[in-house]
Amino acid sequence: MNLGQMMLVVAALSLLGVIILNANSGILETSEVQNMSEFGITAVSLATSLIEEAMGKFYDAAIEDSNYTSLSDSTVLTWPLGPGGMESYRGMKVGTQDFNDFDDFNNLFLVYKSSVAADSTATPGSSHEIIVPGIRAKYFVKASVNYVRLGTLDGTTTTKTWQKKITVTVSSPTSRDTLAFPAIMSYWN
Amino acid sequence: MTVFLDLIGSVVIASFVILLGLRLNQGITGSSNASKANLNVQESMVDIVRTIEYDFRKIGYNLKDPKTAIAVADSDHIRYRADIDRDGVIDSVDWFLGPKLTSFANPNVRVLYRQVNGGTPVGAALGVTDFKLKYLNQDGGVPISLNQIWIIETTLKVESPYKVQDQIITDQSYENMGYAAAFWRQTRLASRNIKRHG
Repeated sequence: MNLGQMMLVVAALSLLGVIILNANSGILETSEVQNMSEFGITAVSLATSLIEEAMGKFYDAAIEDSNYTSLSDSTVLTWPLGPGGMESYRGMKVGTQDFNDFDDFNNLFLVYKSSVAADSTATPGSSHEIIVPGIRAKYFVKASVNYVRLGTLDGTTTTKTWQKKITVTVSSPTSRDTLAFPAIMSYWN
Repeated sequence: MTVFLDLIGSVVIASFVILLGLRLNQGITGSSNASKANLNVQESMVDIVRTIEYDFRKIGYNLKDPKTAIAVADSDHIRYRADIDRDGVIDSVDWFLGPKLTSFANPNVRVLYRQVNGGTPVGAALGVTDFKLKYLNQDGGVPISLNQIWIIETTLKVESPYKVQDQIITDQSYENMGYAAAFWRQTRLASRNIKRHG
């Protein structure tokens, strides 16, 4: 085999290598898209569940309190937003009660994880860790609640208004994306 | 002697090329199967969830007394009453999980059935390996009776009927492969119609 033939063989093998690498790259990209879809399906279910749960609560603690005879004055509304000292998500902490109003969900950080040993480590900062047999990754579900003005629903305000927005974000160590789900609750007098 | 060495070299290189080609072919085939299985599973899941959410939100619709909306509330079987097709006649709808199917490689695969007015159960989905229902009262607690049910927590898992190739470890034996799967948990599915009483 002379030098020319050798060069041709090397060139052919290089070409083949490039084709194989491209094929592998395509396969991995497809797999990643599918994994993202799988993450998305579960993430949507967890986020919508939390939003529906929050929407089923009172607009504000003041709404529940029958001592307020008139609810046309927004200054009676809660500030800062968040749960009371004796409240926790679904009363999971001993000696506490379930959230009773929408803004109690502010700063809630739930971790959904499987029962496998690899997921047993607690996540720093989490409010509650919920074991779900069959789930295939760890899911970090965070909620934030803010007041919003009617004209600028995308923004937030520190002024007490009759509209609150919950933003639920779902992320996972196995996913590069974070999905965000906003929802607005209004109280009309 | 030189020709002989050339021949041996060619055979060795050709063998490597053939092996590479076979490996590539195996990888593409396995990946293609895994893609199809994943896609089927995810589409199936989305389809079931859409149907379940549509159906369950109608529980108690058009009933004069929504307290009687739920007739059976088991962990894998629910029967409820609603005017599901808006024809003025109250229907009885069952959702339940069939027995495990033995004809597939995945031994946990079942069919999720939907049955209307006691008719022939229609398979709403194949590949369901987990379908769990949990019932809660208005406070999120355990209801004492059927008429206290306000919220239904639904857990659903769909798996492929056969194992698929892992995306990273592509040379696994079939025994060590896993199933394509999709998971759904709707923790707070509530029908507005059963909230009317009180």
